Amino acid sequence: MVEVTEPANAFREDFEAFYARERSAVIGLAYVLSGSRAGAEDLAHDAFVAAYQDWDKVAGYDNPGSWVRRVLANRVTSRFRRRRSEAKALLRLSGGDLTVPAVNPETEAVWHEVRRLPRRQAQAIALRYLDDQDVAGIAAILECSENTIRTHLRRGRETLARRLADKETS
Amino acid sequence: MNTIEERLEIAAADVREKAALVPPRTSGSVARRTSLVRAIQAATTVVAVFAILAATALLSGRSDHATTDTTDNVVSGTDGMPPLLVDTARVDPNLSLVYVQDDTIPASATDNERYLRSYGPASAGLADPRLWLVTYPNGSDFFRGEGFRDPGWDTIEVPTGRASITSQGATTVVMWQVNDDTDGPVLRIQAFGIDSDTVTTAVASIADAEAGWVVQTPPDGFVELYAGPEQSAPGGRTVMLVWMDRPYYVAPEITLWLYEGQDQTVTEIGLHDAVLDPSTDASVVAQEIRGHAGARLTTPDGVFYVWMETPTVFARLLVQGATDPQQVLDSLTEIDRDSWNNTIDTWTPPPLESDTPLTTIAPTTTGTE
Repeated sequence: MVEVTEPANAFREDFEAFYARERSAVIGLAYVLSGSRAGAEDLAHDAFVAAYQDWDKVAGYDNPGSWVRRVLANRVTSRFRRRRSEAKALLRLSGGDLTVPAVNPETEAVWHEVRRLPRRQAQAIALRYLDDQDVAGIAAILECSENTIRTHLRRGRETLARRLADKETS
Repeated sequence: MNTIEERLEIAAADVREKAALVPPRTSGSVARRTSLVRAIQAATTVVAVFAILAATALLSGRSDHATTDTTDNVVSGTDGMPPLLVDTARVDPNLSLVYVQDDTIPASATDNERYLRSYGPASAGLADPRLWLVTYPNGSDFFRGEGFRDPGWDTIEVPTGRASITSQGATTVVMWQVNDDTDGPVLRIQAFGIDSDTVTTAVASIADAEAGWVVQTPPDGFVELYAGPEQSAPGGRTVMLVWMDRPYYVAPEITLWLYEGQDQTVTEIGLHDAVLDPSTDASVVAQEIRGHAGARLTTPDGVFYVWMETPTVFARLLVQGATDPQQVLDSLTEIDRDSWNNTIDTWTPPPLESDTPLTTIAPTTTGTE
């Protein structure tokens, strides 16, 4: 008997491995950029859905993970999407709570100030420190030059240091 | 005292640890969500166990509602919301009200540094032409990346810096980086229902005045309708209602927003947000909605209907996955206010057991106030 490969199953397995590997990091990124513990998983899920829809193309990219992060970074800026993700956070499709557990107050204070930065600086900071991306990787995700990314990181850190210090002395 | 780099590393490690604790959905759930946009058969076992969360507080708390007395349905004042619900019996019996959010946003609340001016006819209705000018004081990713080189955009001449233009349906967008600094001001000019020649003439008249960037020569008959922070909602009470199919939450999905404001600001911010969400490509057509001038927007997220339900309430209905969005729109029903307030005030999330029958909202049509 001839064994027939089912393309649909192979397609899903490939994506499944990608999803399992990248999911946690993308959820963390969604949380720090949106500030929403409840909506972060749903925002991340939406970005993976976008990848799944074009998986035959995205899978062929040098770094599909960068593509998902770019989609997430673009979408998380939409307040409309953030609020709908908050709503969908009440709907559970797997056996447990999909909210990101509470972080400690110092962590929240730091990421709150990151979110107050200009958007690209915030994204660069999040990708560098949370996602451990190097300058080249961040530049690829955000579609900027490496010099621009270095500037974003430097200015972002300077502003963060100043604002956090001001808060602590006030 | 740790350096900022050390603090970021520590904060990042905390988030990574916590994010790793979020339980995985099956990848089949990605396929099911995808079927909202196109038909893809669900791949794996559906797990439909519902846990209830308290809504995350991003917004300020609810304002006090006007109380009812024995003679009127509602004491006038803050409770000017129209008591609208989707009559699910007319759309899809599998739909249930799965989420209610009722918040009041202070008019000054914004997490966005952008500034918005809108221009239109003095008595502008929703479907009337508009010209919007948004100022991005710290640059835009459009010019930091390669967005302006996208084949959908053409270069246009501007007095300084560089600018690109694109048109889709009734809307035209111009992105203008006013000098050579990609972190300097960028202007987004968006026109609805205005020909491109008139748009480019208006763009050429934009100047940095004492009050900020303004259109010095708007189209004939246009006046400034709004000037203030760009917001996702006009400020004031906002009610959001979501209906979805159970237990798979695939399609259809219906979201109704009602924004209550004080004046024209409600219209301008609400319409701008609905039409100009930067993440969507919308084709916009005028349409009468519930007897009012409104607009229908077709976007990758679904079909939006936007209209002024009352002089101070902007309504937006999003329909995803339904074969006939107009049918959903037509199913909007005004119920008696006490019942509606009770629905908002006493709503609880769906029960945990997926096989427990849900109580759907059965509107009692008693007419308007």
